[in-house]
Amino acid sequence: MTYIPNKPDTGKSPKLDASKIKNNFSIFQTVFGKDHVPLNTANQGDHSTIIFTARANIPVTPENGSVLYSRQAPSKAGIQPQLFLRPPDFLPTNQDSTTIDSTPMQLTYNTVNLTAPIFQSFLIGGYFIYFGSVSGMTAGIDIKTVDVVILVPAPTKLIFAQAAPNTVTSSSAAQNFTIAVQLNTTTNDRFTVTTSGNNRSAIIAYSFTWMAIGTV
Amino acid sequence: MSQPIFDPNIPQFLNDALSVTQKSFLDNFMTLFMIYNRNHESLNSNRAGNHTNIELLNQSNSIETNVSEINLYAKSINDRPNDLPSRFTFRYQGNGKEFTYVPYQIYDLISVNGSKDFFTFLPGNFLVYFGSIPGPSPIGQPSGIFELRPPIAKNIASAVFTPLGITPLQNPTVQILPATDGYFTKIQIGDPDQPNFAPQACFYLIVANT
Repeated sequence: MTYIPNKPDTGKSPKLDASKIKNNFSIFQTVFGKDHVPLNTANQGDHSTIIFTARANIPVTPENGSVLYSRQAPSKAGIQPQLFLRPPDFLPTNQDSTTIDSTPMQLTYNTVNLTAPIFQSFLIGGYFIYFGSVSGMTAGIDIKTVDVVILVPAPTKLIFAQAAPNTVTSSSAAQNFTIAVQLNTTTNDRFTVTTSGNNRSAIIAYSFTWMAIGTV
Repeated sequence: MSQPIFDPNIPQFLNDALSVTQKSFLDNFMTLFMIYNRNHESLNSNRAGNHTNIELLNQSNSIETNVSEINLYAKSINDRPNDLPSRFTFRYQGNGKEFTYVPYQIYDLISVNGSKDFFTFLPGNFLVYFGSIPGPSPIGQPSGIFELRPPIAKNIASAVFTPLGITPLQNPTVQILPATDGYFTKIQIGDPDQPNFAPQACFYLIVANT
């Protein structure tokens, strides 16, 4: 069936176009029932869901508002459709002198990981955020590389990592106990956590929590 | 071609002849066809019903939601010149809590004194600054001022710094400097009174209210 917007014809008997008129109404009811609460039901006109067809181009922002859309976006895992928001121009302001175009911002990614040891979600702007904890570690007097955290899924570029000790068996031994992180210079999927040593003769047990952010 | 006017009252009478109502029928069908082409796949597309995009025109007030409804909309903020004028906003069912999803425009920050700076948002009007600061300080001195960009933090909720490097030396001395004109924009890295203890390079993550 094809929707025909220029029916009925002029000058003819209505019965000649009756089927086309019914056809138009039928198509509209069927199509409108997709993504929307159907006609003739409570809340008709509301959206029940929103399915985006991935666009080939970036839409223009309305003069007084924002635009949501889907577009194919690259990531380390390939190219997938993602949801974007493009806001209106507004910079510079009296606090921020930067002048920029209304750049689309990626709102989504297609995976999260809700289980240990590598929890993963995403942030607005096309970022992965990873977090987790590592237990059962020990530190002695000497500086020592204690762990390499490997991130899954791998980011295109790892740009930030933090770690902090959160359990120490001896408070006195914990004095001056410091952790540092180092990004890997050759691969973007990992960082190294290093302790300072504890300045005491005893070995201490500790765990650490960590967080990392990379581009998708 | 003039814009057709949709008339929901067509045909007006059961015995209307098509010669009377034909133009109104045409206008109605054409209007439906045209308006549905906005933001949607065309009515005759094999993906008819899908959205191609959603233009969200600014609402000046919060949109009401009934039970079992949630709402996404754009809300204008006209009295706060440093806020995005069109905020992507979510409201929970039953006129519940309203959240700002995106309070600002993300853009690439230019490195200043070797720092690598980024920012993003969390639902609820939170701004997240993150990146790295080179040692021994942002300005190559034992201590220096690190500037938050964009400078729109009205409250620092959390600030965490982790030494960066293969060898941990010491946690950086950090002081959030007082707000200027209502915005926290500067953080002192290192202690100016201890020039022999230059802070190590560090990663930072700061959560702020905008």
